[in-house]
Amino acid sequence: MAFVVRSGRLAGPLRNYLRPIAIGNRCISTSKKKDETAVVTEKIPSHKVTHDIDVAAASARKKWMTYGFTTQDETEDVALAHLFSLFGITLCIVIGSLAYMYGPDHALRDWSQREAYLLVREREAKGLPLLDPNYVDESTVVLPSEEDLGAYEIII
Amino acid sequence: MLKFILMGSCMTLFFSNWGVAVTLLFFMAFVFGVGMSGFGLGLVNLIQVDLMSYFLSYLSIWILAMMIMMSFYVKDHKSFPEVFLGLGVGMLIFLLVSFGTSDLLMYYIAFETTLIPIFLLVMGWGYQPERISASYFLLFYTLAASLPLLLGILWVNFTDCSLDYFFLGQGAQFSNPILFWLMLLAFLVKLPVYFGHLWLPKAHVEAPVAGSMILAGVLLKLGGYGMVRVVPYIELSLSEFSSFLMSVSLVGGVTASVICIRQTDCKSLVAYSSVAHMALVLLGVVINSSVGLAGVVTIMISHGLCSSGLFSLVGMIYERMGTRSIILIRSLITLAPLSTLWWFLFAISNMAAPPSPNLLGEIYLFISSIGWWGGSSLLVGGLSFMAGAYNLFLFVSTQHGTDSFLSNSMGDCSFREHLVLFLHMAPFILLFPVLSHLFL
Repeated sequence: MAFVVRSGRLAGPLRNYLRPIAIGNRCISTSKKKDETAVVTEKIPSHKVTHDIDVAAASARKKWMTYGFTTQDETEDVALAHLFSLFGITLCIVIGSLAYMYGPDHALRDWSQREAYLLVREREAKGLPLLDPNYVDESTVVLPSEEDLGAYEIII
Repeated sequence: MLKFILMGSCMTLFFSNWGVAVTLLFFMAFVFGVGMSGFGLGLVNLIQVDLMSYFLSYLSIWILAMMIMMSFYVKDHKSFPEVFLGLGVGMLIFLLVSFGTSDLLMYYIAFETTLIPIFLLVMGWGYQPERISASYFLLFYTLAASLPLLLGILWVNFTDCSLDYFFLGQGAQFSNPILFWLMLLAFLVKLPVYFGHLWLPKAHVEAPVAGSMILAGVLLKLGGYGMVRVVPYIELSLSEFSSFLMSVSLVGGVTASVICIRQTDCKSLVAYSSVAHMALVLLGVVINSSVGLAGVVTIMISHGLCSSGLFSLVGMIYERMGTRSIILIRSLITLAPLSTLWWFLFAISNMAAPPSPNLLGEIYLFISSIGWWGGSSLLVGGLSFMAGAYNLFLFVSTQHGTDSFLSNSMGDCSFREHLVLFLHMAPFILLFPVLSHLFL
């Protein structure tokens, strides 16, 4: 019984072995078929497109590579890529770095260095100390006399 | 300064068109960066109080532009993209107010107001059901810690009759330990330092890419900025508590770095690395030296850009592979070799390799902390070593290895992702000479 069932399943593969015999029946002649009676009647369809193509559908069919912003609309995707590159890189990083490097002397940093060198040269020429311990000239300070002070306590 | 707040609120008109919103943000960043010289102090006029506010405001505009550019998937696949954009722009407006104001109460109001957009972002556009509890953790940790800050501000207002930053420095005539803790607790939790850090890994893991980027990039810096503003008033009590805060910062930072290596979720790893970096910020603020404060500003800016970039990278992987597990993500160098460049650059920048400004900030902070106590060299050295270890672990686990079964739907970075990562990296490298001039 099992043999009957199982041998039934051989029929499929067996047909593949039998097929080579049938190959000899195939006509491979390329000469004109004189005894052919079938006639092709239907028209071969033209490849010219007569209706309007939807842009989004066309781009979807064209399989464009997305820039990553949207997968629905190619125009929007390309526009966003160009916009963000322009504003992010060109404007902020490139022109921003340019402005930082070539901008006016921010917080008077360069001026203070130049001024320091000039003052050092001036003081060395005059023989003055480079940094005077007194903030103002001592001769301009007017201290009150003893009578003006009275009993006021001075703590240093 | 007000023109930027108005420009930001006019962007509310463009909520349906993301392209125009991002373009306006870039234009805003350009004008903010370049068009304001000649106004006097700190490149801008008297609303912007000093260089740190300026840098942090610039950072917040830039990170917001990056975050929106990274989140185009929300427009196509998730619901309410206009609300998403609106929350981002609203957060920017309040961040600019908080960094640009010279009044402590206004800072507090803006500080609290920025919590609402991030809460809604995590709750609304996060990925897993755990986002509900994570957003509540975020909200209640910060709110509970910042109510004492409000009490402290009102106390200062009643005793000194002014809340202006300029006058806060003059009024420090008495030391009051209660006032010290009232003012500082909110910022310790916001930074976050080790004992108040529990909300951060939860919030980062559950947040969408954009939420993580703005959280790590800017919102943590609100804590550091607030601390720097408030410290002149509480300076006299600082020496009383400095050893405690220093030990929390140093040991907490090392502990957070060690915990970091044990994480299996990429986002959780980057979140714990934020905890370790912000421990360094606390270090610099408590020491209160010029080098320390220069290090604080440098670390805040560079960590903002680097961490935001790392979260973008993890987000890209999550979009493609559907997992954030370090164990499952591997062999990206064969699947997406162009992204390996970005992974490498951000991983080494996170571990403070030259030429990133992270190195500069860490050097400044190491100088100031070793000047405070020589033995801290062991702990900051340990923190830096562990930073190298977990960043190397992250890079090697995700990039190297044999092929993984998740590789079927993996594509390399698109133009948009390359642009986002480039715009993170380029200011990062270009800022090195700018930040080195902080401590002239």
